[in-house]
Amino acid sequence: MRRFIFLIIRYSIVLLVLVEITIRVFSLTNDVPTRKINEFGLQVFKENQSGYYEGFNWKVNSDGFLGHNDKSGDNQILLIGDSFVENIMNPFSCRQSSLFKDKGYQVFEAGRSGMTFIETLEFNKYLKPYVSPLKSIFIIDNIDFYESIAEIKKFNDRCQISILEKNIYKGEIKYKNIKKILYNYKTLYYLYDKFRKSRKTEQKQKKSDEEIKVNQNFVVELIRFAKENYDLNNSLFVFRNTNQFSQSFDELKLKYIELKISDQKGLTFENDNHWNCEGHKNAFLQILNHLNIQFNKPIK
Amino acid sequence: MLFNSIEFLLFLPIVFVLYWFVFNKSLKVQNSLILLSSYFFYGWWDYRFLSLIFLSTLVDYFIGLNLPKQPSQKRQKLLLWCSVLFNLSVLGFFKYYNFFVDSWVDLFNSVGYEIKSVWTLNIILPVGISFYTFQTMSYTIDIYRKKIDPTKDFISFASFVSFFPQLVAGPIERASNLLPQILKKREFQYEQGVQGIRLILWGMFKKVVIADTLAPMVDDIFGNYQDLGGGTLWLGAIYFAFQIYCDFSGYSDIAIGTAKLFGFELMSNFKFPYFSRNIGEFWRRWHISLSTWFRDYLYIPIGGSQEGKWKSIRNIFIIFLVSGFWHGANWTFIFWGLFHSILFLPSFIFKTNRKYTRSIIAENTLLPSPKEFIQVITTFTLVTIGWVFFRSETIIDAFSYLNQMIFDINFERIDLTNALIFVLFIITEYKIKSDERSISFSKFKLVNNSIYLIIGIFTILFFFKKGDGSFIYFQF
Repeated sequence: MRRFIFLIIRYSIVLLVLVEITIRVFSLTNDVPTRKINEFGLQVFKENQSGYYEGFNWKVNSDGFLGHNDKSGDNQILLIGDSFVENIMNPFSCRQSSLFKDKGYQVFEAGRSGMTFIETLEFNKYLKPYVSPLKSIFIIDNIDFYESIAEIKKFNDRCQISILEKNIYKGEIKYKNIKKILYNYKTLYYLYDKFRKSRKTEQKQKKSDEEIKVNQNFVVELIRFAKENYDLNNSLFVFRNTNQFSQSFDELKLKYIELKISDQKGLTFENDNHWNCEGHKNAFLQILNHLNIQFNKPIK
Repeated sequence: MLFNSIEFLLFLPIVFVLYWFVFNKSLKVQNSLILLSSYFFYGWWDYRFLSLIFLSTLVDYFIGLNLPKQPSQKRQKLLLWCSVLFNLSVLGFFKYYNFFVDSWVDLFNSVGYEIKSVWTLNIILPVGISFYTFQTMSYTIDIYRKKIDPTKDFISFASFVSFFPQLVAGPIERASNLLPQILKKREFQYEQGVQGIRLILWGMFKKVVIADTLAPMVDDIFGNYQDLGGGTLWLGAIYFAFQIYCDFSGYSDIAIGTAKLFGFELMSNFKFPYFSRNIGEFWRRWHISLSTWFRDYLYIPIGGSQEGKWKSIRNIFIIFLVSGFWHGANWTFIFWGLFHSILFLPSFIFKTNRKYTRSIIAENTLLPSPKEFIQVITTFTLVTIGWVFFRSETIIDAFSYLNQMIFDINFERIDLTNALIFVLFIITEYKIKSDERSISFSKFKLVNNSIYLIIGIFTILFFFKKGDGSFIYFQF
């Protein structure tokens, strides 16, 4: 029996080493950038890391984001948003910041997956003095409002606000050491990632009408809080879909546009609702079109 | 619980350690662990149906025990029929009830009587029911035939019925093979353990690398066959031939390998059937535990080949039709059985069906002779045509698929992306064709170990796939 167990252990070790080498040599899994909490208590990526994701290389800039980080240009734009702005799954040329730069804008792009609406406002608040943008563009979706509110569902690892207490929780990095192991031991991450994708997404619990109404009231309150507590002049909210809270936005005179992308074929990945390169170009043209009309900025 | 799941990868070593290190003092305790583990393994899928296994075990245990005590042959026969009818009723209700109701409704509708199918029920088919009911039935039949003695040890008998490696998809064991092993003290043997691990690995490779890779392509081709050319449909049928073989024989390999880890030897279920030179040989190499079950408990009792040519032909039709019907309540399976009986008949009539009972192709040579090669290709082609019936949703789909496959000569847009992996797989199978239980690729240890590492690497890399990953034969 001892001989048998020794054989199994020896085989397993050699096998796992070979699998690790295979995964690394053939880039079979993605590299995930590690995060840190910056001086404002917000989560950004550790600077100057680089890696590989779905066939493309990525590099974190000196400000902890993946895109361009221009500051104080003539046509300076600050772009903020979640994974759609982080855009790790597309080549660098398909970033919103790259597309804007091609049209002569200077862009600071602050994108990070999981960013809530309140967090985009926090980033805007802290980055504005540093970047001096002419325009702040927030690429958001309705879900970002709900995920911002602690009373609806508490996420310890996300920046949220308690609407009732008017208190902002910045969010912490969860399972730091486990993530470190997972991201460095590629076999483990490869299997974890495939396991995650292989499981069907759980059916979301249906909320009652009353619950929906309470949550919507929270969001309306959040939008009002945003208007009162943040400088939202020269800001444009770009909704990836229809703005469910357009009435509040109109009442508070917050500028927004709604993109028409989700109903078009070939603009998102096959098994993922994120925009592919074509989707980003399409979104960019819609935003640009609006900027030209609304702000009448010259295009070089 | 699926063999190709995280749960099983945790379950197996835990049971292994408990079995050999904690519960190894007494046979009874060890068998109790087998029983508990088996019920846990099955209950992981749906604990409600454990009661069905338990009931089946209980009925056959008591019938088996009382059968020899009956004063007359007539009483013994009556008791045996009780066992057979009970098992077939359970199977019939869960597996065939809706099929019969729907078929009657269709029949009435076709002759002009408009009736609605109000008697169909929302029945869940318990996984493995076709396998364990046949296993317990063979126990009482063998006692009736005085081939074995009944056991008084209920725990051992219940372990025989529910032995987890082969509970849900076979091999369908005979009491005469498995029960004595359960009743005897087991010793761990290094060689047996190593063979077990090799079989598990090879079975996993066949399932997760080959079968699960083919599954979406097969689904796609069979789901959209109306829009595809004949070449692609041939490819779809060939892919399915490999999918079902790798899926089912992969399961059997893992089952046999797992049993070996616990000191048990299960019967072989597959012996490289696609290297068969005629249909007779194919059926001696494909799902052996089921075909021999039907031979011993159906074909021979109804006369076999001993009662004249016409009765023998009738018996062949019966056994193939029943075999098809065993697979599922659908006319497609019955046609599949019928198709194979038609393929088998010529070799039976010309007495060539038992021509290749012992030999294998290219037995002492590297390559098969041209004659053998043509025979293998012909047999594989015919079997592949048969798989179209097996895989299609309806009998109309099957005939439309075959019609397009044979008459729409169009080899455009054939995707051969995965062809290389199959070529490698066929070469590997060809290399190990002489022994399905030891899985030895080379006489050189280094080459052998290297191949096992490559198989291990592929198995890990392909382990998790989208979809439920269950085995095709679970639905039977």
